[in-house]
Amino acid sequence: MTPARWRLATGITLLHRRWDDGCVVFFAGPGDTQLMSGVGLELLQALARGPLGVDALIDVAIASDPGSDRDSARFMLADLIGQLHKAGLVDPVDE
Amino acid sequence: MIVSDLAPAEIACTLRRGQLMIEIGPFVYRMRSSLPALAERIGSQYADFPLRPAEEFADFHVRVDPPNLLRRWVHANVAFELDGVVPFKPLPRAHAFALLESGLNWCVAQHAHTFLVIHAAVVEKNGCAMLMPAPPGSGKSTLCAGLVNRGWRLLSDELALIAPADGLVAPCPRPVSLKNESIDVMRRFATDATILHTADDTIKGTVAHMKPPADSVQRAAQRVPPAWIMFPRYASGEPSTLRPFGKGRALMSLATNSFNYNITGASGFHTLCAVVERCECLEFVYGDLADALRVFDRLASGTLEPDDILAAS
Repeated sequence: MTPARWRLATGITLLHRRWDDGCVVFFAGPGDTQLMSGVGLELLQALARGPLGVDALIDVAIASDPGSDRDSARFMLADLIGQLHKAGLVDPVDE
Repeated sequence: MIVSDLAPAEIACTLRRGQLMIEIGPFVYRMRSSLPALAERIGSQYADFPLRPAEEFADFHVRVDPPNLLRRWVHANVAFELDGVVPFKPLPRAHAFALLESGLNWCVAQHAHTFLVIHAAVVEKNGCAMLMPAPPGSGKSTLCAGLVNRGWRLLSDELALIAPADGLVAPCPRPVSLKNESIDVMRRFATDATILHTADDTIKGTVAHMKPPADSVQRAAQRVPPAWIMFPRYASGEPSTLRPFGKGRALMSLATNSFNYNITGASGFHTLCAVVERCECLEFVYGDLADALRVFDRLASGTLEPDDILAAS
């Protein structure tokens, strides 16, 4: 997660549904569907509002999962952003 | 008029002329073939299906015949065609009926985009449909065949057709495909069923087809709301066990098993969400067909005890 800021890839809007075993998110545009945690959904919704830096994303993750610490949130974020970037669903922001 | 109103020679003649118009659920197929053996099998397996006049509109124009005149004499292969296009490799003439069945499935899976099409067996009891998406070898078709021989209505053993507008399942009952060991299991279990040995040495082994119950064919226009999404798995010697299945995972599984979710966009997502929301989602392991059917009957009649559904694994 080297880049400092991230955003939702161009042309994507999010649809979602929450259930007990996770949130299903539909990325309208590319048409991908992903099952993820509630924290993952909160992060995506934050990115949908505009580009965010890593520290701001960690704040979002901790706010939606108050039991987590910054190190575990950073680790989770790196994993999630890495997967979403590989799938073309989030992009780094060129500074 | 239904197929069995025609004499065998009339079915063969009508089929040879490309004028056999069979209504199967929401679709009309115009069928053509010069193969007398295929005409005989269509006459047996589709006996209860409505016929449409030859001059009417057909959704799919299909043909099973030798691919060309030379091959007719050199090889004993036959090909499936839709509108003159051959989507699969030709197969031995003895596989003609199994090829036709696969082809009819393919027509719907590739073209019927007014529905969300999911690879799943669907049965109905008491006005409620049960979707059973499962991979090959899971015992889905055996379970489906067993259920429809014990009072459940067959909507389909392969294709769940969900109408996006209302979320109802449209029936598309056709012969139930049975493979390998499940053929003898079903012959012993349902001695009245018409089970036709249709092909040996296919990519899936030995294949037979079970004629759909007449009642299921006659009620093919009656759409029903889905009430359960069941993920079955046969495990020899295991007792029947039901466990809750997460709705998020259920949606992902339906999406993976759908033939056209990827082209339906947000509409497909909303349709799947509505289906999953209204359904009880369960996984079911079974090792004995008769016991499995007792569990399903209790589920349908609302007489399962809370303890009958184990904790999620």
